[in-house]
Amino acid sequence: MAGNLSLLVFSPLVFGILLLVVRKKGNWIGILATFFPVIVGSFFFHQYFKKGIQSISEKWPWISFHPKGFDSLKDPSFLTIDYELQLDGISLAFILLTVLLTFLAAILSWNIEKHRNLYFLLLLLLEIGMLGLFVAANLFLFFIFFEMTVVCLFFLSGKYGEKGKEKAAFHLLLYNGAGSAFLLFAIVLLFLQTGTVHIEQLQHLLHTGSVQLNELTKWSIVLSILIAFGIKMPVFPFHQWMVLMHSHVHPAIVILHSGVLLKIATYGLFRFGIGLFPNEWEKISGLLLFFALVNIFYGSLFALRQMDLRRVWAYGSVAHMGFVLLGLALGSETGIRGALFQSISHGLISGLLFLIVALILTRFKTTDIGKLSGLRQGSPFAVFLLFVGGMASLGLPATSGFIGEFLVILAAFEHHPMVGTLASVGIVLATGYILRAILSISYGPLPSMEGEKGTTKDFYSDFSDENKGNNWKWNMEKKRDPRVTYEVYEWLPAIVFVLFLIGLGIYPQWLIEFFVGA
Amino acid sequence: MDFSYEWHVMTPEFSILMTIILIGILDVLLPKKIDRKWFGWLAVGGTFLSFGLFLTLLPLDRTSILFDTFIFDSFAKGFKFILLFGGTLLLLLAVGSKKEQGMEKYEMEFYVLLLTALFGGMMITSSNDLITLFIGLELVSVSSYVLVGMNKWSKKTNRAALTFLMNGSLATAITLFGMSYLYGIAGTTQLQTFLQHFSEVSNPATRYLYIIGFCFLFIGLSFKWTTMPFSLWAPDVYEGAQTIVTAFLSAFSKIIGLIMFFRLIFTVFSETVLDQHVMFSIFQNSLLILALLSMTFGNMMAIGQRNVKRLLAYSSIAHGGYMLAGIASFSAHSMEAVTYYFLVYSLITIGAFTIVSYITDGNEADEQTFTGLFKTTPLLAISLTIFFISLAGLPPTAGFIGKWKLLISIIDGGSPIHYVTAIGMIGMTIVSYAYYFRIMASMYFQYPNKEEKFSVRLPLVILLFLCIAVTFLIGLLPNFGTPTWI
Repeated sequence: MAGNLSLLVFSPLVFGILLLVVRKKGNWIGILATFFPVIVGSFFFHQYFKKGIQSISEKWPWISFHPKGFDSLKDPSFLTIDYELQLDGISLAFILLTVLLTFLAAILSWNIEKHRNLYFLLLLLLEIGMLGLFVAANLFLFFIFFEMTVVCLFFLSGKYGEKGKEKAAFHLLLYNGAGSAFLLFAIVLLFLQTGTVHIEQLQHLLHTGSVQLNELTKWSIVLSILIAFGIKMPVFPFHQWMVLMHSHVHPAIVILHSGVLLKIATYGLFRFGIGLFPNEWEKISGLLLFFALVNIFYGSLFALRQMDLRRVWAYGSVAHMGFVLLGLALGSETGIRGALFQSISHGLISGLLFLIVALILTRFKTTDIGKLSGLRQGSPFAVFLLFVGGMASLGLPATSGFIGEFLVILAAFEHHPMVGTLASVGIVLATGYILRAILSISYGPLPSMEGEKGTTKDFYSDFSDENKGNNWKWNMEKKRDPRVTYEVYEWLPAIVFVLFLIGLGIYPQWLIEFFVGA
Repeated sequence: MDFSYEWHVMTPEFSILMTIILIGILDVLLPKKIDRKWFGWLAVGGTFLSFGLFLTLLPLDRTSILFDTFIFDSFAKGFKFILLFGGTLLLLLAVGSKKEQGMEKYEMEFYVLLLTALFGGMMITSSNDLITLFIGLELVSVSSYVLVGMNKWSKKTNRAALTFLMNGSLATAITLFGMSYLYGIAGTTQLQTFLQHFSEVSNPATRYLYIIGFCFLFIGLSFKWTTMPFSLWAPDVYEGAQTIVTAFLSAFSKIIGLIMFFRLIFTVFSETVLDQHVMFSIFQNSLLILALLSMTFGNMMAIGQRNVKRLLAYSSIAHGGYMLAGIASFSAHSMEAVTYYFLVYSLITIGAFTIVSYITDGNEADEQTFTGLFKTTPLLAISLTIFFISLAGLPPTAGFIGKWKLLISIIDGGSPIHYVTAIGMIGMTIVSYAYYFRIMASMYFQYPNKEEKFSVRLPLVILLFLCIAVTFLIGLLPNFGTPTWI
């Protein structure tokens, strides 16, 4: 088995290397390179469920930090860091989400022309980072992959998007940098106190009490971890960067950002918060519940008064991540499963929602709710998608959104009925902001659009702060009315998203099986 | 007394010295019309020879010659390796880059001075005596004064040279003053016997003399490695000097100062017990605070800079702070961490300055020059990105492992001030993202002001390849960066 997990993590590069050599057809290579991880991922899926292997791991000796004069025979593993990867059900769920979303995002990026090879290369490096951090078996590797995602995302978001993208990129960098600074501090402290960064060993050491941390150390580690992932999630006061990212960056990147990268927070809090410090977690769960509710209400209320569709989705994400935090904060089995389910399902939902954003942007050049109307006549397919995405997002039964929120609220009612009630009110608010956005876009008269049939004007040029080169160039010279017809690279990912959303809503057990260990 | 010294431990130094003499003589003897350009390759050859000889010496145990003033121990091995490596890279950079206007005539002087500085640095790593330490230091200082001021037609350079000379000579005087106190207490200049002499001192009042001595020594030396509050000369000098000389000051002369300080702490200060006080612990906190201050100052000032050389000067002040913190924490991990960081730092600084020199081509290093670099010369842009990411301490480059090791070494100290320093260091790293990534953003996200491609020069390509390869090699496999013989 050795080496297989590395193959999974670095699988995007197998064909991605071609991007360095071949100048043309970058989009084909990019799609091929992101498809390969899907195959490898399904191979692991097959092994995990069909063969009943519970966890797959891989280990190579790597670095030792023995101080001078240290007797390495006594305890050779002390202060060493190995290259260790481990895959269990929860990692696998996130891995599958990652490979799927990256593949679909790559398809959606078909039209990118500005430095196309660089774009796909960065996308693949980002995928490596994401895959790596979900299978990293120690905190050090986790951190390395975590930082890798931040750097790749910085370049992707700063280069591909519309006006304001650079500001968004710097917000991303500095907020996430601050987060990873806290994380780094926590990791170094843990490493020095326990001599290891391996997650299972740490669990063992901390739970059996073979390593006693003093209160100050323990709490500074717990709080650092909370702040680090709180920024990533994002929890209320730290959400500004994420709203900027959502509203200024190319939708294909936002799909990954909102779909996978925010979920790192769920994964991290679950693995390192609950996993390593269950007692401390219980003690501060009250505070976390408060923040979760703040997130839900703040996100929903702000989403209600946004005029930009992308900002509605962004604040909606804040609210949805509030549910995730709520489930994690409850700490019960149902709660955690609900949170994990909600993470995966929200990944798919926001994938679909931002795919719609891409469709609307390419056709109508704007996502302003005030300007858009009557999409039902001009673009029925987009409206269909909007309804599926919106319904899933507001938690209508038979969509995956329902299951996650239902599990979380169920868990909340077990111990904190008041919290459960409030969270339910949050769902009602979600109905409000989503229906407001969808209805005002879908109905009403078709406005006169600038990008009329047969214009060759690049639709993106008037937003763009630079006039040369466009991010998405939409071929307006086609004979068909582009507002009604859809290209393969548009409807194919959309259909996949819809299938997954409804499939998971009807048969959630399929996904919950991944979380058996939790 | 046995005078049959084991001279062979000095062969690396000798080969450098012979190269210096050879270049000097050849310049005098050769007819004027012969191009002096290949002197650079001669110098590179000399360092290669020295490097080879050094490698053959590695199996040796601790050896000392010249009445124990010149020693070859694990400390010397580790740092000599870094210096030779950095020196070779610097020479490659000098060979490859275009000289400033009017500097073509001074090939000989340039290489001789660079080699002399290298020679001085190597002497410092091995010396076990205040006198030889001082001589080594002066060799480095004097050659750098001349190097900075070589372009005598430029106003900026003249100002830089004068600033540097004034500050530097003052610093030297202060260092010497501090040394004289130590000599006064111990009655010897031999580092090894210092300890023994100190322990014999019974008068408690000498403690204060000792503290004064240490402080002066520290202040004098800290001019060299530019930490707060003795760092204000750096930006002006870095900006005014030729880019190669700036690289030399930033990557080489800085490290030499730190090596000297580390040697003194390592052998003398850390173990001195005077009047039941471990002397180093008295200074430790203030050193850590100074380190913290220079990280903060350097990074904060760098944000506002528009001239890349000035920016790198402030960033180098910040890095001086990181390294000083690593030395001052003086835990079990310090030696390894600091050695590793020196190696990484000199590597990536030289790499970064290589590209700066490449792009500015002897002109002003304004940030505008870097705009849209990715569009014109992607390879240079990507290389600079790697160096900046490494300087910012992001994985998977060696800069991250270096920061990680320094952090371990600092936190391992265990006292609250250590924690504060560690937190400050992590926080300041984030601040440093702001300016490293600002330049990267202008390279990638914006369009070039003028479309011009930069021609490729072979020595620079070799150099960049070396720097990048080693940065990734020791970043991904850090055990390579800390050889067992250190």
